[in-house]
Parts: sequence; structure tokens; C-alpha cells
Amino acid sequence: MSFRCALLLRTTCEVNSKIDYHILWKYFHSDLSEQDQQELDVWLKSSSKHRAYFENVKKKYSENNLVQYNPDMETAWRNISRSINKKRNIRWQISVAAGFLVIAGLALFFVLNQSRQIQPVPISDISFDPGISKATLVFENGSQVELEAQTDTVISNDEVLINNSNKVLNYQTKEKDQKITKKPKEIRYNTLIVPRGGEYDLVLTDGTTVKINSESILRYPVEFTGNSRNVELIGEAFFKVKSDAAKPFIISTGKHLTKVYGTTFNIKSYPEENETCTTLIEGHVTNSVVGGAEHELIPGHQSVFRKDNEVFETKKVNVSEFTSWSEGRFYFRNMSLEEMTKILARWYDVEFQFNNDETREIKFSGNLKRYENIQTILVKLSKTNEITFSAYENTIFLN
Amino acid sequence: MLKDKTILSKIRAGDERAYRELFNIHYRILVQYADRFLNDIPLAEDVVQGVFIYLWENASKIELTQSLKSYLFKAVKNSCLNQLRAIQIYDKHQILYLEAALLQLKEEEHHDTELLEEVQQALMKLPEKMYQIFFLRFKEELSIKEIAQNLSVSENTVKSHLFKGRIILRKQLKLLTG
Repeated sequence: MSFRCALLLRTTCEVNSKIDYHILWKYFHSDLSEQDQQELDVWLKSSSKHRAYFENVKKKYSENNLVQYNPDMETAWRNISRSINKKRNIRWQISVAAGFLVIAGLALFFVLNQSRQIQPVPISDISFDPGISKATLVFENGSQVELEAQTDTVISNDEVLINNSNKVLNYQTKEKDQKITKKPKEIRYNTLIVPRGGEYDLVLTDGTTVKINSESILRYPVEFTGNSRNVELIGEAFFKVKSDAAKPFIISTGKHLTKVYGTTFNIKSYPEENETCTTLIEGHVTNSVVGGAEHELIPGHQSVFRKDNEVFETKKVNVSEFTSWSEGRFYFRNMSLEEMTKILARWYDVEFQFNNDETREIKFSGNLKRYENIQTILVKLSKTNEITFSAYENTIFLN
Repeated sequence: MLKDKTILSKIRAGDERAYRELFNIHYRILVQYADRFLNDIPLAEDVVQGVFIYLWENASKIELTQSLKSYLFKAVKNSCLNQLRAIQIYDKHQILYLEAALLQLKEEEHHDTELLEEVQQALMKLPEKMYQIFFLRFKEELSIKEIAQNLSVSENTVKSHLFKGRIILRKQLKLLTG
């Protein structure tokens, strides 16, 4: 064979090393013809990547299926936002150049209209209403209902009755004879999205009640089938789980799992914060990382899970500091202004800006009403003479 | 659809909150979907993140002819098929796609309602025994062994039903996927 021919043969071989997935499938489910087997062998030999994929396919078909997949939403989001913001900065530089012209124009405008200059308003004029009951309900098919505007909505499908009245969204399983029995029974999920400046009460079909705080999302099955009751949370919620010893209730917040059988507790896990805090009022819960050991928590204690190094810490706390929000109060005990403003920002849908870092560390204690205008709270804080407030649009400055 | 167009136009305008909401709702299911093709979670995550980044950067060019969710699923599917092409795999008979679609049955968020309904209907048309086997395999996620025990048949019977069933399903679905 001439060299050229050999080369040609090799090239053909490489071209032929592609494979139809059908052959892989047949390999695991029925028999391969000799020709198929040959194709498979060539393909397997041609690259270690091919062999690695083959091994994974083997695992897929032999394993008794799917491990529950709990994505690390924060890391994923960080990857995405890093990438889009890099590009954005370039865009931003261009717009800065364009912006100069606008600013030059504005400057001229202000020189001409000095009396209209923008000035922050004093505390007596700062007025932001507290949050209200509002949320967006997203169905499994992607359709959405805004729950703020509508009251007394009744949504009924084959299995459940969803009743929205008195600011409570209530799921009830239908009586058997009312149900339209369908051949396949699938677990369907709904998602409740609570925006900044909002909160919402939810009753699930098992009787569990959940109060979801501002800027939080809860995803839950319309009906609990299977051996456990699984929901996913981003943000903060207060749970009263109906007891059912046979079916644990599991809340996942990213990699962190909280497992309970029937009890009352609060979970706080905002994506922008490094800690997931579980505060137990009564009963018994365990916390774990997916696949890791379970850490028990006893009433009156709080579990703090650090997302960056996945370390658990348990401490005794005054539970009302962490659960008072669900009863319409803010209970701050020796809390830094920085922490406090994070809570207020979500509830009043405002931004806070510190003029210096020392201010962030000032500590306060107090028991305040949650359903009052923010001014009441700011006035109380300013009485200590350590800080003053001013505001422009929805940003509040601390001096 | 109208809602989706609003979301898309928000993303075009650089509304990161709307974008993140979209991410929060669909990320998990999309990774699972990609994993059906790739059998590799980290790779599946990369693919889905790539699709989201593409969406942000090219929002102005994207014309929605379907729901945003369908758009995302299609983009993920295409990206997965590209990944497979790199390791010389072709899914000529759409087996992987069918598998991904079948495994969506038990999921809450049906990305492609049209296909899903078609799959459901095709399933219903299967002979009773075959239907049972598909149901146990894809809804209840039992292993072949467990199905055999459950229905008191041999494992080979289960396998051959799954095999024949797929051929029937594929024929039915050809109508849709062309």
C-alpha cells in the first residue's frame, strides 16, 4: 500500500469514527449487529473523551436513576453576572462619553435655574409606606397571576383548589370523587415570587403554613406525593410545618437542606448574604449540606451555615429577634446599622447609603412596629443623636 | 407570549432584575435537561450559563416566535448537540431528544407543551402493558429490574417493550419533528 493510500485510509477512519447515538442505545438495550459493534469499537478507540462519555452513558442506563439535582444558584449567577458585567463596562464607557454631553447640558440648565437645584429632603419629609401583601404566582406552565390586585381569586384544576382571599393563598386537595382522574400523575410545581416591599401567606395542601418575606421566592409542589415534601426557598420565610412523621418536609436553599417532620421555625438565606440561618422555635429540625451529615437543632437555637466554606455553627439565641417580622414587629437587639438597613431596605423597597464606614457599625436595640411608615423608625433612630437622615428619591442617606 | 415579549424587552433595556428572575425560574430545569444529553452536570451547567449569557448579550437580535421558555430549551438543546458533535456523536434518530422529553414528563415545567402533549398522546396509544412499562420507567423512575419484578415479567420483556415502544413513539413523533 502506498503511503498516500494509507493516509487516505486513516483519514476515512477518522471520518468514520463518528457514531449515531442509536448504536450506543442499542448496546445497552438490545443487541448490536457486527457492523454496529465495529463502528462502536472504532469510535471508542479514537479518543479518551469518547470513552469517558460512554462510561457516563453506561451509568445513566444502569443506575436506578436520577439523584435529586440541587443547583448552586449563587455560583451559577455569579458566573453569569461576572461575564455580562465585563461586557457591560465597555458599553458603559461609551455611554459615559455620551453622558458628558448630557451632563454639560444639565449643568448649563442648573446654572440658569439655580433655584431648582436637586436637594436631599430632610427627615420630616421622608415618607415610605411599609410593605404590603403582594406576590406573583407562577404556574407550572409559566403563566402568572399578580396577587396584589386581585382578591378572592379561586383557581381550580384537576387536583387542587387554589383560593386567594384575605391575603392568604390557600391550596386544598380536592375530594377524591371531585378529582378528574388522569392516567399519569405528575408532580407539578408552582412558584410564589414576593418582591421587595412585599410579603405573602401561603397554605400548602398538607396544611403547612408559610409566611414569605420580601424579595423571596418559594417553589413548592401543588400536591405532595412521594415520600417527602420538598420545597425550595430563596430569601426568607417563616414555616409552621404540619406534622407527618412518615413524610419529612425538606427545604432546600441552594446546597443547604433543612429537614423537619412538624415544627415552627424561620429560615433566612438571601443570595447576596453568606449565611443561611435556621432559627427553631419548637420541635426538631436537622440541617445538612446535600449529601452531608445532618446537624440537629434544638428549640431556642439557631444554626448558621456559611456558604463559602460550608461550615455549620449552632448558638443559643433569643428567637423573637429572628421571627418577630412574622408577627408584624422589628425586634433589633444590639444590631449594627448595616444589618438593620438591609432588613428595612427590603421591606420599604428603598436603598440606604452610608457616608462613612463607622456609621455602619453603630449598634441599636429596639422593638418597632413593622406596618408603620419608615419615618417613625427613622425618627426613633435619630433621637439617639448619633445619626441623621436625609433622602433623595428612594435613597436614604445616613450621616 | 405577550408577557415573554415584555420580559425580553426589559432584558434588552438592561433590566438585570428581570433577567435574574428568568434565570431563577429556569436554571435548574435547563441544567437537568442539558444533562440528559451530556450526562455531565458541570458541563451541562456551563452550557446553560452560556445560553443565558448569550441571551443577555444578544437580546436585541433575538426575535421571539415562541415562548421565552421554549426559546431557552431550544438554545440549550442546540448547544448540547454541538457539544456532542465535538465528540463525534450524532443523534440522528432523536433518541436523546426523546429521552430528554420523556424525562420532562415527570417534571413540572414542560418546555415544549406541543411536543409534550404529542408524547402524552403517543404514550396513551401504546398497548396497555407497554404503557405501564413506560409509565414505571419514566414517571416512577423504576429500574428495568424493578419493573420486571413489579409486573412479574422477565427483564428481557421489559427491555423489548421499551425498545419497540420507542420505535412506535418515534414514528408518531416524526409527524411533529419532521
